[in-house]
Amino acid sequence: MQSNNLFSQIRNNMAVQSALSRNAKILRYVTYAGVALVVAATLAGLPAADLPGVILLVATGVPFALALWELSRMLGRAEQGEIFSQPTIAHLRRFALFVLVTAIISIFLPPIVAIAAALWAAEGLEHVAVSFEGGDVFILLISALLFFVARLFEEAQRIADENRQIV
Amino acid sequence: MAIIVRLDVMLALRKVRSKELAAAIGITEANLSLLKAGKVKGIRFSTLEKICAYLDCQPGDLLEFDGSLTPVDDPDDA
Repeated sequence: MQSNNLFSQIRNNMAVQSALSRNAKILRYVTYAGVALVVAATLAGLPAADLPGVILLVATGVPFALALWELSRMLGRAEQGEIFSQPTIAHLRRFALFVLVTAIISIFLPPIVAIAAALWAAEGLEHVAVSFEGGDVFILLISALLFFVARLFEEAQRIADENRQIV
Repeated sequence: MAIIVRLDVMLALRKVRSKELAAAIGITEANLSLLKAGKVKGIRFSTLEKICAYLDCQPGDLLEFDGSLTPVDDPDDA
């Protein structure tokens, strides 16, 4: 009777793990497609862009592609069943960091590049605009939320470790 | 750890093998072995209940407190 319960519990756990693994695998492939799309979009924009445009494209495209790459690696770990492990949390934290870097660069780099371009061309610069829109706030919030989720994962890892030591 | 697990003594007294007990109470042999060696952080009441029921004993027969041994510093208690 008790061993039947144990087997049923093990079966349920395996079914949940298998569903998680499947979802992580699908998301990982979607993320790979995202990485390819970002790289392709960046490369496609390069020939038509002038130097400031190239700098902007590369400076925002590279960290965003790296963010997606870290996300895909985190999903790969989750696929292997390592949900609450230190490497998984490290990938999530790096993903959050690259999203934050992308957001900061997309906000502050355009005016910096505009100033640099004006100085390079020895032209006078009448004004510089730093645009801070709803989308930027949203990305910054998402990034902060991801850091918070990473912290929650750390706590979950501690509880999971402790739970493993209780029989 | 000032708590000593006397499960091995009880198993010997009842002439029950670890494998048999593990199967009866629904935990792995590896976990039972860790419990016997006192290398676990805790034991669930449900596990204790099943062991006591199977071995027909009291929790006090399985666990003993020895004040002369060094208590474990648990960071969670801080």
